[in-house]
Amino acid sequence: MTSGTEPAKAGMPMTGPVPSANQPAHGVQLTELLHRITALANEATDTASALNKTVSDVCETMAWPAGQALVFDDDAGLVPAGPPHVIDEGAVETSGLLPSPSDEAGDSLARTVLGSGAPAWVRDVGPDDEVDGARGWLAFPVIVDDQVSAVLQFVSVDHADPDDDFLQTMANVGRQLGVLIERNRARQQLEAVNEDLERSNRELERFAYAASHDLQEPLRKIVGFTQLLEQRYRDQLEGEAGEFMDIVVDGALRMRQLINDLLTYSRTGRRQPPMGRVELGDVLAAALEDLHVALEESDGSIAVEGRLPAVHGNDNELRELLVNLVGNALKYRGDAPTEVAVSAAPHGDGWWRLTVADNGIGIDPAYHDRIFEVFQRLHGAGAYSGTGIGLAVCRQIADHHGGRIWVESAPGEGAQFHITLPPAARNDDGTSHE
Amino acid sequence: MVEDDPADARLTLESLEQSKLRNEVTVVGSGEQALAYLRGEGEHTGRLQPDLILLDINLPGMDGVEVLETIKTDDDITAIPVVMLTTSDADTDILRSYKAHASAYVQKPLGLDGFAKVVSAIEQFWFEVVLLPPDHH
Repeated sequence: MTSGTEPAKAGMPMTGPVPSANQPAHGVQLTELLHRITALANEATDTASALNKTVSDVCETMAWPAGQALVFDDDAGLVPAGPPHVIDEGAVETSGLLPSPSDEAGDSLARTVLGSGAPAWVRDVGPDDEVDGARGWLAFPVIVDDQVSAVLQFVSVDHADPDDDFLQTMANVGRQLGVLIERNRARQQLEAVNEDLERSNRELERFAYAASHDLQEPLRKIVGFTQLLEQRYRDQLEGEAGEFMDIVVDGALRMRQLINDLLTYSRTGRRQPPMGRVELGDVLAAALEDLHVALEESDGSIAVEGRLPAVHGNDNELRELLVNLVGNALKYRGDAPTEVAVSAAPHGDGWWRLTVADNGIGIDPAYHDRIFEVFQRLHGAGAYSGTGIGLAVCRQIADHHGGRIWVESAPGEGAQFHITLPPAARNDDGTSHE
Repeated sequence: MVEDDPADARLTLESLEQSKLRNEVTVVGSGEQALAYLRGEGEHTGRLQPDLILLDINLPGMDGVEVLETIKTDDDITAIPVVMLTTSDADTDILRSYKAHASAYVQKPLGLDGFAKVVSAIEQFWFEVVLLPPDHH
């Protein structure tokens, strides 16, 4: 508990009538004040308005004539958060009522608090004041991260030191407001970071789009004219010339596929797809239709184990996810006929874990993370079709749904891909086509 | 054909030459030239009205869709079918084109084979399957 500081005026005799000291607010009123401030601090999103409301509340509770909140700014110093709260506008000359924080003459009360981090008060402001009943000044800190972020200052009608109950209450009020300020700061930082990220994403998407289009034009010429060369000068070319040209064309075609995949990946990443109730059974059926050629060619079988639930998500994205996973299962098969099993199990909190399991060649645990990155392929070019973007897109889709995707697998033992998906909202109706 | 890139024009021509249909192709390199040609203006006076227009979107000056829109407001030439033959597969381009009454939208394929197939399909459709508007000159 700190004591008040006395300014230069201390000791002057009081010449005016001595007003009867107001009854100090009772414990109950202080408790209720603290409750109100706590509730305010929990809900408020604007620091200044919360500080101003706090000052008003304290003034009303203590029946004090005036108060003001000051905020500390690194550049400007102590700055009012709002106009002073004044109980009786008519009777009060507000300027000069409250100790000015920018008082050059000496340390003002607020500056003292700023420096010490502790409350300070003057309990006898002397007869120079022109206001009935104004007898003391008090200032209280709001501390965030061990620094004073704001000061609440008041004019009181008491010329006694504030009692312990009140000091304790104000300390708690300061703490609550400190938490609020901290929370608001963190939120603002988060918003700033989010804005940066969004801008960066937009630029990336624009770049990917432009690059893919600009890159296709020279590719078209490489492929088209190499093929023309081949056609037109076939008879005059000997030996490996044909082979060389095949390699050139093949390279260009693969590059075109890479560009398309990159475009798909950047488009998927940027999407914020509409979400609604999705029946995974229907989505799987649609995915299998998309894959029917691959299914026929591979002589594989797909089985659904148990019932597939409804989830909250986007049907097109989930279909894409399943096409990728089941397609991979068919692609990376072993010697035995492919068997793919799709199932779902509860994952806690209503969430579901969707599993696509196969009996294919399996994946070495060393690569279980890498396979979800863009263009990470574990086998040489040409061994298996595709450019290695399918699983990266799957991960984007899992992200969009707030879920996770991972794999359990070992070489020669097939693979189980798991994705967690959120529960369908109870009042979801209809489809997620919008 | 309205195509500003000579190499792309060449590829399309080569594919057209390999098709069975005899046809004559005139290539112009900009939207402005295309309109002049279609209207039979200036150096193009006396030209035959084409039966089909192959139109690229990425042109210097007016872009392909603007050319398309202009064609469609001109009573003399609005009936000529226009096939957009262009690189983009962006939904906005496709939509804009059909909204402006393009008869078809085709993305330029990569390899010569692809080109040949597409061009041959265009020819077959527009010149063998479809009945073209009668000449009204």
